[in-house]
Parts: sequence; C-alpha cells; structure tokens
Amino acid sequence: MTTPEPDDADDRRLDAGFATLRARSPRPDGALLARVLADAERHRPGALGWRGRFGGLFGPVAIPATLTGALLVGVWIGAAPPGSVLALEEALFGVELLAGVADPADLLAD
Amino acid sequence: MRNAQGDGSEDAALLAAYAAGDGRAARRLADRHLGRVLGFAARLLGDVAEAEDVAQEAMLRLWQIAPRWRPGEAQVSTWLYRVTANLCTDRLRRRRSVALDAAGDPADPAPAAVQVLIRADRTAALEAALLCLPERQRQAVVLRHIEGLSNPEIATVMGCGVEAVESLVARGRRGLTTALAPRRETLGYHDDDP
Repeated sequence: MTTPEPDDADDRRLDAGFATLRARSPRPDGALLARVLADAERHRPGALGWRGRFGGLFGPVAIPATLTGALLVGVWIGAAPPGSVLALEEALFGVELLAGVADPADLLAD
Repeated sequence: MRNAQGDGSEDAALLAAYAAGDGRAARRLADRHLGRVLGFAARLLGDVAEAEDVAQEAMLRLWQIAPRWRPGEAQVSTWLYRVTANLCTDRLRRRRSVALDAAGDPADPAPAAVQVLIRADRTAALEAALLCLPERQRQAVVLRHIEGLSNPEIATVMGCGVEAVESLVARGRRGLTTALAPRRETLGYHDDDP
C-alpha cells in the first residue's frame, strides 16, 4: 500500500483542522486561576510577611540593626555585667554567678 | 498573547504595576495570558492536567521576574511562550527517560498515537498527528497555525532564525499531511471537502 501524495485539498483540510483546534483550546478553570493568583499574591513585591511588616514599621535596616544590638548587649553583659544585672541575678538565683567568672586578664597572668 | 506586538506595552505596564505591589495587575495578566499558555502547553504535551502544572509554573516565573523585568527587552507574551516551551521540553524529556526506565527498551511514542489516530475523529486525528511530529516541528506548527504568531515572533520564542522557523513549519505541515493522508477515507474526507 502506498501513501497518497499530499495535494492542495490536504492543505485546506489541515488549515480547517487548525481552525477547529484553535476553537477547542482548553480554558483555564477556576481552580487553576486560583492557584496562579495565590502564587502571584505570595510573590507580590508589596505583600508583607512578618519581616516586611517589621521592616515597614521601622525601616529596612530594622532587622539587622536589632540583631546586632542584641548581640552587643549580650557581649556587654557577659564581659562587664552592670550592677542592676548582678542585683537581678542575685534576686533570681540567690548566688552571684556572673561575679564568679574569672577575669580573662587574671587567667593569662598565670 | 496572540497579538503580541500590539499588547506588549500594556503587558509591560501591568507587570510594572504588579512589581510595584498592585495585586489587581496580576489578575489582569492572568486573564490575558493564562489561557494561551495553557493551550500551548496542552498542544505540546497532549495532556491537559500536565499542561495546567506547566501553565502555573510559567506564570509563577513571571511573578518572580517582575521586579527585574526590563521593558523593551522582550514581550511578556513571547517570554511566556518561551518559558512554556522550555518547561514542556523538560517534561517531555523526563517522560521519555521514565518510559525508557520502565520499558527497558527504546520507546517510540508513535504507536500509542497511531492507535489514537485509528479511532479518532478528524480533530483528534490531527491532535494525535501533532504529537507524532518531532518536538521542534510541533512547537513551530502550533505557534504558527494555532497560536497565530508571526515567523519572527516564533524565531524569538524558539531561539532560532526566521528561515529555520519557515523550514520547521513546512516540514511539520508535510509531516501532518503525510500522517493523515492514509486515513482520508476513514476520516470521511472526499476530494471536494475542505
């Protein structure tokens, strides 16, 4: 059996077929549209998560500045605890834990 | 998406509005492009459910690139077609490798499609014949004859020259005609039919 040679009628049929396919293209349903719009909302540049809200209230450097500040306060309390911290410590635990820590300079002197 | 040139500036404006935080712009962009992205993916993959995942992924990439979008460098529509084509290519490759793993022998996608051809009506036969075409020819034919893009637009989407597009479309059409020719009678075609 031989394959018939393509002719003009085949071209016309093909074009008619394409027109039918165009008309029958699938349409997005509500579920797909909802998924797409949910993605859009999640990635929307103005959409605020907790970072965005915090940054929006106090400026874009609020988060790194807060973390850096907390770190510095922690180091300060560890290295040279002020009297109020020592008093609070004694009130809470009844002993002086921080005062018992040796001065690093004394350790090196030996 | 079909009238890519004329709608380009409106798309760019909508994308800029979305990048500035306007959620309604996303809805407008989805209304304008989601249907065509879905249709294009469905024609390339032959599977609407999988095409929906591809359409969602293509739109997601649009949302992600919005803040870095540079108007004038590309049309949103053309960019979406390109992303969709690439996503479909990835899926078709994965599908082939899964088929190879499962079967153990090189898989020929044609037999299943040929079975569909035998029992399908004219439209289904054309859809099945499209799926039998080599991937690049299928992309070119779908973009030209179903999505209605011009050859230069297709060249941009496919990352090749206009002459290559012309050749792909011509070979694709010839392939479709050849695939459907033996079935003229069973599909009810007569010489005076369109």
